[in-house]
Amino acid sequence: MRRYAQTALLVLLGGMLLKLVATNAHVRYVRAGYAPVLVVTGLALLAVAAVTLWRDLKSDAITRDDDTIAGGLKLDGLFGIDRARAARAATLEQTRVTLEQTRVTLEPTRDVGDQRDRALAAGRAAAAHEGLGEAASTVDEAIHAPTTKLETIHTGSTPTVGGPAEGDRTGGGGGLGTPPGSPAHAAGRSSGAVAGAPLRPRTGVGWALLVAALTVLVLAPPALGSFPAVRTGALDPARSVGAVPEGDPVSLSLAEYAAHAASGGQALAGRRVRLVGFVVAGPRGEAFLARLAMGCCAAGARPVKVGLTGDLPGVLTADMWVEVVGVYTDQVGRDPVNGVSIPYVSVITVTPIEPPADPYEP
Amino acid sequence: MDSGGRSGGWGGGYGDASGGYQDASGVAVATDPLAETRRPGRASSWRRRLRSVEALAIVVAAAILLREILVDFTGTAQRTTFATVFVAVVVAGLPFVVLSSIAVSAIAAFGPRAVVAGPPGLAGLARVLTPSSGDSRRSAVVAGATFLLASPAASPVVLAATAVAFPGQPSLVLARFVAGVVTTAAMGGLWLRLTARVPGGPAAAAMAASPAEGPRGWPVFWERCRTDVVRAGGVLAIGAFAVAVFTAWLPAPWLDAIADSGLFAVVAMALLAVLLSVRAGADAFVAAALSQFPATAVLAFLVVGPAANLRLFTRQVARLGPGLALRFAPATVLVGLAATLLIGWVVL
Repeated sequence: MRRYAQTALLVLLGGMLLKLVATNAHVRYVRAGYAPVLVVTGLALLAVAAVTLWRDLKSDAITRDDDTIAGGLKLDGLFGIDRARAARAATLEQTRVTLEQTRVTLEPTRDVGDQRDRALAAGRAAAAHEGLGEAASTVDEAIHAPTTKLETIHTGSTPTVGGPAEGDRTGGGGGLGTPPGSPAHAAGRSSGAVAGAPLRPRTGVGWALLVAALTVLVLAPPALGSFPAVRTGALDPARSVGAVPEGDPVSLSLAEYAAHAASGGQALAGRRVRLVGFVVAGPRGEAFLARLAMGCCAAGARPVKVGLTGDLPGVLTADMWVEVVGVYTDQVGRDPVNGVSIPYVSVITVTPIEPPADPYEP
Repeated sequence: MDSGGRSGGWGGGYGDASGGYQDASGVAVATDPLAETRRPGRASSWRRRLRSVEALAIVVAAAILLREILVDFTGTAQRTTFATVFVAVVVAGLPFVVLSSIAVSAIAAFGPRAVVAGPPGLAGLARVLTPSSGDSRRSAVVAGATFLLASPAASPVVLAATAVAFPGQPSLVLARFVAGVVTTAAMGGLWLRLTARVPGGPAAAAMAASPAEGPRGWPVFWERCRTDVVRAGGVLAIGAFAVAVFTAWLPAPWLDAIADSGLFAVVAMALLAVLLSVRAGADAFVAAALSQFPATAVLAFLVVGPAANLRLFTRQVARLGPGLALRFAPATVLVGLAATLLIGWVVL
């Protein structure tokens, strides 16, 4: 995955997080209180994407400008790469021949001077054209680079090192003014990754991240329902319980009800309770009222289950959200998956309801 | 040469991040228009033509156009559960991926050189343990502080991530800290012995793994941030994919049987951590998704994973040679397991 693709991925991820919080859809996957963290993360991702994109565009602008000066090479961006590659290979071959001849006929230092002069002129023109100070500084670097012998230039002709035509593109992929082994040369090689070890960091795993971002943005998977609740064993009820709040019927979470039931249920004596959850069918046709309790996120959520007994309406189906009003009963069942004891409630009324905004156990 | 090696902390996955080099001078950046498309060796022709940003655009467009089909395809309760778990782990872990990437990029760009190279943080530790004659006391202290910040065992980001992933279980955070430091210290000692025969000693081995020269500053910081989020996030997504498959498709009795199998559960989680190679900043969210497993098994995942994993192993093979790496990696797993069992028995 290359630079621009990485940036695009960061934009997608940041947008995904902000969209989740904006539409309040994040409660399907993480705790509601996680929202500020997600917003800050989304903004940070967008900031990194913006800065790196700006830097890439800036550096590519310099490159394109150099191409314009060199003439003809700007076709790279317009036509197929293979054509530019062929043209470049031809230029390279021509350069080799030319250099071979110059080596015989000319005094080495004079030729190097020539190269430098041309590089200087081209670079200055580039700087004047776009008003980019950095292009000018590139040229200065080329001037102050240590003297390079012609032999070095010749034998150091790797595919990245252009001939005279490309040598005008000062600083381009380790131009002629740059001795091999210098930082600029290394930079050219590492960005070009020519024929050597692949130095670019491997970012292929980024595609997995793209799949995740698209799953959120396109599929928007719903909150977990009865499927994992049936497959996963219930949580052990808490041992410590608070006082039962006022109200008749009193609204309790399933975990609160289970905790009171596990500690004897005296606090619930004579009280009607109102419980909310979705219906889960047990293996022998028992009906449970269940709700999933998150740890950190929806993954790994464990169900809390309360058995339903008494006069049940026949329309109960799995995954249906209901509000149950009932009274405590000392009947106890076993979770079919992990054998945890499950309290029961004696049902008075069952009312189908819309799924709550936060479907997980509060 | 490997430019990124000097700061291989945070689960150690940063050794080959040479992205920063390209911007070294601020001007010699991607000056070759073919740089984006040229590949070594025999790349197939479509690959040469198709840049990854274009491939990404095509994938996104296809996903949007085929939305109806994809929604239908994932309509069953099983596939919906898979998708939700997959997304939940990524969304929960992403903040810590970004946070740890920012931290590690800051260390790479502005932190002291050559302190956290080699196996995660070990060379930094080696430097602390054996300050060479050239090292002043102060530089050893700086190296120690950077080691603490960058090592997966002791870093505040990793511990915070663990606390968030396991709410109400502070003992697990403590256990991870202690067992992680014990493992790192033990392997630091072994690292010193194994590298003693390298000419110049451990410091030279650390330097070989992390060139002292190289670019620094803001260009490195931004480039590193971007690459690191993509890589660490990608590995997190793969880990999330794996646990989502376990959650939705592995028969529930199997998972419960493994989770209840005592020592085998611990070993299984450690091996899973080695395979998945999730970075230390986000691995707690993957472990938290396997909520059936007992705390000691989770601790094994959190302690062994950052110290020894496949990603780290391939790098050790490249740097230390297969002989040394083949001894070092299994030793790390065993030491991590021993530390897990000991600390888990005491703390959890």
